Amino acid sequence: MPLRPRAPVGWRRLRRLRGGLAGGAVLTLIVAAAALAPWVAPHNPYVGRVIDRLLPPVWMDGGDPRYPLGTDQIGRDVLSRLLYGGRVSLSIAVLAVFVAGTVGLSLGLLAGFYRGRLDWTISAAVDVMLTFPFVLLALATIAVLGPSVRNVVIVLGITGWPIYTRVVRAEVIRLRALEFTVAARAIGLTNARLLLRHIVPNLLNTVIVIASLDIARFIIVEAFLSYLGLGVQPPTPSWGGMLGDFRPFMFDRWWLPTFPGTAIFVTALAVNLVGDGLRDYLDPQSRTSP
Amino acid sequence: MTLTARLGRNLVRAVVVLFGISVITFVLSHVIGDPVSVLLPLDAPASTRASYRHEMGLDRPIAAQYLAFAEDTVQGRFGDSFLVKKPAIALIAERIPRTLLLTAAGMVIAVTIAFPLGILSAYRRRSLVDSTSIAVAVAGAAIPIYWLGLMLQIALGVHLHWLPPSGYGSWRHLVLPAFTLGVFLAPVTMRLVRSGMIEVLNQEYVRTARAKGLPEGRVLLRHAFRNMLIPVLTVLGLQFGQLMGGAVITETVFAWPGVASLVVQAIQSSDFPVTQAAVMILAVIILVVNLSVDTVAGTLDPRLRA
Repeated sequence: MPLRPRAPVGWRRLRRLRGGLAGGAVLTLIVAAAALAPWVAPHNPYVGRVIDRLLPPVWMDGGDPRYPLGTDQIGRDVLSRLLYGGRVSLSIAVLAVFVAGTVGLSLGLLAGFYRGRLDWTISAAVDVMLTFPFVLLALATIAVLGPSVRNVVIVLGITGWPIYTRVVRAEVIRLRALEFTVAARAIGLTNARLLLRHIVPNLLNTVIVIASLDIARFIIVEAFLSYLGLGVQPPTPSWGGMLGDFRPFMFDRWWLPTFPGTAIFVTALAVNLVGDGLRDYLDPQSRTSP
Repeated sequence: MTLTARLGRNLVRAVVVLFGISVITFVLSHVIGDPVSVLLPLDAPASTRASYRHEMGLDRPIAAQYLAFAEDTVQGRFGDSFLVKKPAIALIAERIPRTLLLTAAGMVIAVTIAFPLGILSAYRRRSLVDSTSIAVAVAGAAIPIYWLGLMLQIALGVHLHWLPPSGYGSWRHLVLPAFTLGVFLAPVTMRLVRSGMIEVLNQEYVRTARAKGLPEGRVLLRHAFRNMLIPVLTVLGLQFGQLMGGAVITETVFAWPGVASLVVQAIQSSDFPVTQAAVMILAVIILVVNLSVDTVAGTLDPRLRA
């Protein structure tokens, strides 16, 4: 297995990666818009003018050019809230993936490297966590801990680690049997050095691919928690929270729930495309079947 | 591995997993959460709280509380719901058939979409059908199902009046939630079927069947399809937990009165007995499905017996 992917050569290779590249382009736009929200958002996302409440988007009858996507029930600009909400949703997902990935990678290394009783315990814990519906576990935990941004990160992190552990454990067991690990042991490397210098670098590609796909999953679950009122709390804008707030308007103002939903969908899609592209690029074995 | 050995190993695993889930449930409700704070008003005096704690056994050591909880759980005694004066288990028993109905309908829809598309994509690899179905699967996997549900409600329920947007009653109420759940499950299924089929089509026995001059339809359905089925169904069976997760979301969006929406309500209102009962029962259902799929597949397919 080559440690470094070959440089992409030729049109065929580029064609294979076009999904990932398109996803990357869209994702870059979304991240930039969210990061630059304080400079690009036309209005303050927390303050609304009650006289301007529930205006439709600008291209519809009665739209106001000052509010491109219209206003919500207390007259706040929907576009500005979407931009600020993106900051919240994306940061939560990235932080949670970092927590889940770090915990999962460490436990997987321990289980796969030391085996024995430790492995048995960790693998049993993984079994327990994976049997249980992820959404339900997240819901139950957040209900007990109380809804807040910090708790959403913690909950996604502690419900998300088992996949990393399962994959990393299997990889470590495989790598441990390979010649380079045996050789490293033979020249007397310490376990810590062997793990960090020789095993972890070989796992990073796999972990990065899972992590990128997890970001999309976490964005979707975070939005569901916020939609139920168990995630990001008002008045802080979040895509899921807006979707929940706008739900009652589905009968006469369909555009309101459509905007935050589209934001979640497009972001998750872009992240997934990047993840799939990364997998194709980083993992030569998966190139045969897309 | 023989059938009994496999069954035995799976049963041990089931016991371990159930133990783990009971510990998580217990820790969430008794150690981190506090039932007394839910049952009593905020301004209740400390003495009332203390006597309540004593009465409910919440002042005993944690280990003793867990043992009592485990004993009750094994016997199916979860106590009365805090909200409705009914045993939690009765509330759940009443709703289980509805959740199973929704789940089964969702699965049927997913299979109806995913199997033909997956087989066709594998058979005509890199064709227009293939790339389109992959694109649809990628997009489908990124759609938040609560939002898809909402969009379907708006389009078909509110604007076109074709179907009731939410609720429970006739078969017409089932269509939108079942379709939503089907869309949730279809992308994964389609990818599984496609890659399973590609693998099987590269096998020598398929080449032999073609060399014998069998018609393509027969090669596909009798030789390839059947061999692809067991591994694909096994993976699908193991995804049953995910499907229940999808059911939780779908039931919430469509006000479908199943177990899943009951749990969400119970969790939101800190109704601990119902939450515990529902979580344990869902876990048992998921485990039974996972383990029986694994056991049956291992018995049917000699290659998995190792």
